[in-house]
Amino acid sequence: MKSSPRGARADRPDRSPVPPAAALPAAVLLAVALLLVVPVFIPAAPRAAAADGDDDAPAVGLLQRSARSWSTVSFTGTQYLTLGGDTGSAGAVVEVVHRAGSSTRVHVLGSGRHELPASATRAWLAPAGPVDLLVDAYEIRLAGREPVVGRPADVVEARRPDGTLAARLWVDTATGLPLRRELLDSHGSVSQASAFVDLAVHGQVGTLVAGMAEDSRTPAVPSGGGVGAVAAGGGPTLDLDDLVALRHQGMACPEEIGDGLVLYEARQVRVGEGRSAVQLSYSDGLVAVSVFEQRGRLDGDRLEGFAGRRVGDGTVWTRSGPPSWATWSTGESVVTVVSDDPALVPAVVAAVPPGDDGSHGLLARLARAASRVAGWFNPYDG
Amino acid sequence: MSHHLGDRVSALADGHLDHDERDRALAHLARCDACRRDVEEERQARAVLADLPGPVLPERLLESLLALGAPTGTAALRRPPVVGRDSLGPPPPPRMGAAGDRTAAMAADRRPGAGRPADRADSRRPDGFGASSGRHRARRIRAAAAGLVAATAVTVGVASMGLPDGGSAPVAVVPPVEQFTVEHVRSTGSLPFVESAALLVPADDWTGQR
Repeated sequence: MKSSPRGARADRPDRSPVPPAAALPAAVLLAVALLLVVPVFIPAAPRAAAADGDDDAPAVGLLQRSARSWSTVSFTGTQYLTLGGDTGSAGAVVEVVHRAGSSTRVHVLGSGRHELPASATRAWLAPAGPVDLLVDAYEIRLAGREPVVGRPADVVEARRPDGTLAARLWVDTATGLPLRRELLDSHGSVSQASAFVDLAVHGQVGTLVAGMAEDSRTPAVPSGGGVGAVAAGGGPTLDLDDLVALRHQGMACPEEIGDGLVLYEARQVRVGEGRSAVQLSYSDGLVAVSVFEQRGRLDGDRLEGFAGRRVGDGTVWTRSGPPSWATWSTGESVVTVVSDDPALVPAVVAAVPPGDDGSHGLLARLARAASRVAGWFNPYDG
Repeated sequence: MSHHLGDRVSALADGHLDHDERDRALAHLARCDACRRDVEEERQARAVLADLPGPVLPERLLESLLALGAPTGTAALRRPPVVGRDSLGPPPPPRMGAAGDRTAAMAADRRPGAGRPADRADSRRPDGFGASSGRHRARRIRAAAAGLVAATAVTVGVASMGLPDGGSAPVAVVPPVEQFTVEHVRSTGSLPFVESAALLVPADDWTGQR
């Protein structure tokens, strides 16, 4: 694991003035303390180094090449996607048609056709690119070679800070395309898997040109969009200033969820006549969760297929997936979560806790009024 | 057409095949409607069995959510306390682990003499005063207390009228879940190593909202 930007921000220099006369005894005391304490931690040093250790540079290079492959390689193929879930496995066979640097057409057999547009490059909000999200959150290692769909592939492993395996990625040696992907839960069970069972590569743009156009800190799937661009069917993108303004208006819009889910995209989504929601997209490079915030109070009685549970001061309504859904009221907003992994939902609940469900009822109004009256007589309540 | 999956249908639905077997099975599946139907029926049967009691909250999610609801949970730490909520709000719902606390409280109430009216009256009456002057004094105190309570109630009531949501009811929201699911899939387009689980949502649900 590398130090996160959040950790870097925490390392602020102490600028409190220290008189030289006072500093000398303090320095002596510090040196003595270090002499006493350091030997205790020496045996743990190698382990800490392993946890924070450098990622395998060739493996990271493979991931960067793999991310660029979406903009350099055109292909058609058949993929499967399976999910190990709490309600049993679910899966689909998907025909994929991808044109280098463009959108991806997906035909889910037995279901329907979809077009997944490439996102606008300049709408990216995270301080690091998609590969960096993965590299920052996990320890990356090269784990050998193994063919997939008859093509030689390099296997890259991503491990959590505690050393457990989080993902295996099979990267096509020739093109860099990700051929197979497995996510594992903390117990070592495969929670999600996808792989090509059929692949035809139609062309490859010169990687040198593509490399000049992108680096690892920019999203790997560029398109002709830009700031304020509207992706096909999507709403206008929001930048960091927009999010600051929304926070002043009472919306949460957290920059990070849990440990490592980073906000990488924000968008305004129209949800009805004259009404809109804010979509906040978070990822650690392997999984993604979308958080939608909209003004109002949740009408739990009209939710279909959801089960409510009291959490803190409110009720969290959840629906099993895939994907997993959850929704609750907080303050004067309604939060809705769409998550590929149900285990991510509690982290969102922790980041944007549910508010009082009866916040608009008589008792709650009287409670807030009592709080207000108490504030009138509190000399410390500014 | 290669051989049908046969016994491997169950193993595939359960995820018990190794990589090569699974890839071969899925390659066959992509081209064989009959086997794809069989696998889908297996998966649906498992899903139906698992869903029999109704919408099932995943156990780990439930545990995490309950932990968040605990007073020492992260959510509790991050939320500022609300003055007066505990005394004026509705009683909190029963919570796992709280039974012991309630039992202890009930046991305390059953202690000999605990909570009897006579005890409460005794505690209000100072020793060393005559019975008549004590009654007058107690009456005045009660009257003053009642006046204070009434004044507080009026003040709180007036204050509550000025709260932001005093006049207009907030908009009742039912999140458009299907539309949000489509938007979620769209947002994963820039993540090269993320395959959204939302792809498994039937396309009819998607197109209905677009």
